[in-house]
Amino acid sequence: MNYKESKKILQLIKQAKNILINCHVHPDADSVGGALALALVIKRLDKKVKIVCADPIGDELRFLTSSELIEETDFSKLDYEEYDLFLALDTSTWDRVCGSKDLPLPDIKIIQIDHHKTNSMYGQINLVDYTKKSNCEILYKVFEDWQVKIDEKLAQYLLTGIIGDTGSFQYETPPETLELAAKLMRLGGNKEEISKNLSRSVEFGDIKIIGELLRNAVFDKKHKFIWCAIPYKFIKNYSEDPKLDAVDLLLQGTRGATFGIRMVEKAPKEVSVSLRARDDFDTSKISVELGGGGHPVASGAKIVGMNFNEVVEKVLQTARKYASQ
Amino acid sequence: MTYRESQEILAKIKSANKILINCHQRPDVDSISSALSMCQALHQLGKEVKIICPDEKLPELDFLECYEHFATIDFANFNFSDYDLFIILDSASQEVVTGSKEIKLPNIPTIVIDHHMTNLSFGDINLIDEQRSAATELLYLLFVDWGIKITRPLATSLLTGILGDTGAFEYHNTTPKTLQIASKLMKKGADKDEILLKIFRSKQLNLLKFWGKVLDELEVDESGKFTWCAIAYADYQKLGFPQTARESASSSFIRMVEGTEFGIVMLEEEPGVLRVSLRSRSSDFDVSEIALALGGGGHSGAAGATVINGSFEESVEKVVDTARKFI
Repeated sequence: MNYKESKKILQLIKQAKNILINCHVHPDADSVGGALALALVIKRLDKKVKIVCADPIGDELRFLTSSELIEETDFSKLDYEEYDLFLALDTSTWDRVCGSKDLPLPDIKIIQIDHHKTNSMYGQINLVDYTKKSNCEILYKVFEDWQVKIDEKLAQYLLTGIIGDTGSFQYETPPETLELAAKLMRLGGNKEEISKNLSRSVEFGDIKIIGELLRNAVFDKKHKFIWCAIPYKFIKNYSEDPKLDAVDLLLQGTRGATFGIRMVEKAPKEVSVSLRARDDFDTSKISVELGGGGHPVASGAKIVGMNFNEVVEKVLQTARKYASQ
Repeated sequence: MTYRESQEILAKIKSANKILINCHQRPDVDSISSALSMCQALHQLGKEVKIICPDEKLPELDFLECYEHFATIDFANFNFSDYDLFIILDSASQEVVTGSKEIKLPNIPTIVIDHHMTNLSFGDINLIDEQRSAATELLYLLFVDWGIKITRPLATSLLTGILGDTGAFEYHNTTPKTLQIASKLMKKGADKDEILLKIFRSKQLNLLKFWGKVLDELEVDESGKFTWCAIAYADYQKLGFPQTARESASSSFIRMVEGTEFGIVMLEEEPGVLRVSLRSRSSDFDVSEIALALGGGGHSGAAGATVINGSFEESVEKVVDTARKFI
């Protein structure tokens, strides 16, 4: 047995008839892959199951079989009476399940499977293992406990979650995770299809914006950071909703810098600021002061209502304050 | 035993005293890492070793053991007679070993160990395994065959090469075996995250500016099947000749665009010399065929060629026209 909770969870699933599974707000590969995997396992037990999510699923995850069955759901209107079990996956708090701070916990049995250290333990059973880099790794271990046979479909779902949450193994990844990924590939997981969809599907307009950002990148050598900023008047020619994550990897990758900042005016007077540390610098302090938040290595803020040039000045001043300390 | 050639190669090494190892021209992370790994293995066998290369080594790899045994040499004027064996790694042809079509290999016994599909098997003994993601992945299997102790420094240099040639496990040459070997090397003490910081997050700002230029020039071909861009020598010079400019740009952006099959980066690295990097976006497309048609070579996912004897515009047109024939 990998987890002492496994047996009890299986028992409750077997007793239930109609089960809800969630994907968290702004669902990512680990959330969607995990929900689809667990739903498939439960369906094979002849149970009815529905996957609900407060937000829509991104296009980059549509390659997963059955992803179209995930229902974008208004949780304030969800009738829990039809269901007898709620499986909450990869979601540390209830408001990240339902997408609102105002909705109370529903009157339904909740089982959680999660890997976030900050989990608030809102379920009746909380299987939380924060030593795992992705929730799909925990699900694999649970399936092992349940003696579920991992076929091609399940392998693909689980591998998608692992690749998503480890940044294709680029974030801190223990050797055991690589071994599990190798095993899932041998069982039919198609890493190439996953990588192609998750990291090689940038819109051409976004490529042009990234080019402009890089050409304008500035190295503040005194304070050891790289920054770049782009106004709405450039963005609007190329994209309505640019996805520029690729730039962050580059900004945090510059020799001699401790962190990188990207500022993008996505709509008039609405600038999103994204910070990435190269090693152990804590960027979240800067983001918090700018009204945002995040992790030490990756954080951000959204600044609304100020002119683009003022925002740039404000961000740089704030960054310099922390950089020089 | 993974390779039937293992014992024959080991016997040759044991009977030699002074051994040369090469890095190919404009060496990349896997080339240098495999040479340094082989150097460490040969030291375990009590041999005297020198690593030679027609070009400079990469400064970011100075954390690897045996780095100081690397020497940039002129193959036309080097005295090979002091050595009794030449081990050639990660090099598909003699030209990439010596750095020139005109310079032949020295007249000493050669062993070629490589993972390029297009390898010409030009050694006295040839061990080619194109299933391996990196030359270092192949070397790991060979060292296990030989009974070499995988020390922490050796695990580090082997994993560095694998991370380099797989783009940290992102490219489609990554197999389950690659991940398994990487996992074993981590357990032997190789620090993956530290290596990634050294090899992927230690760029110069002028390289980022170069990428900006590449993206600015980037076009999607009218067929919709590939992206391409071409940078002339004058622009390259203006940006300060950033190291690994072409390779890094081709391995990241040009293969990212939705709907395309592959991408091409062309860079006039010397006046009149257009170097071409091709990268496929998915494993369904084999770019090495285009590279071969242009007189180059490589892997199905990553290949390259050099086009000379034309103006910049003519050479660029030649490359784009050739690429269109394969779509």
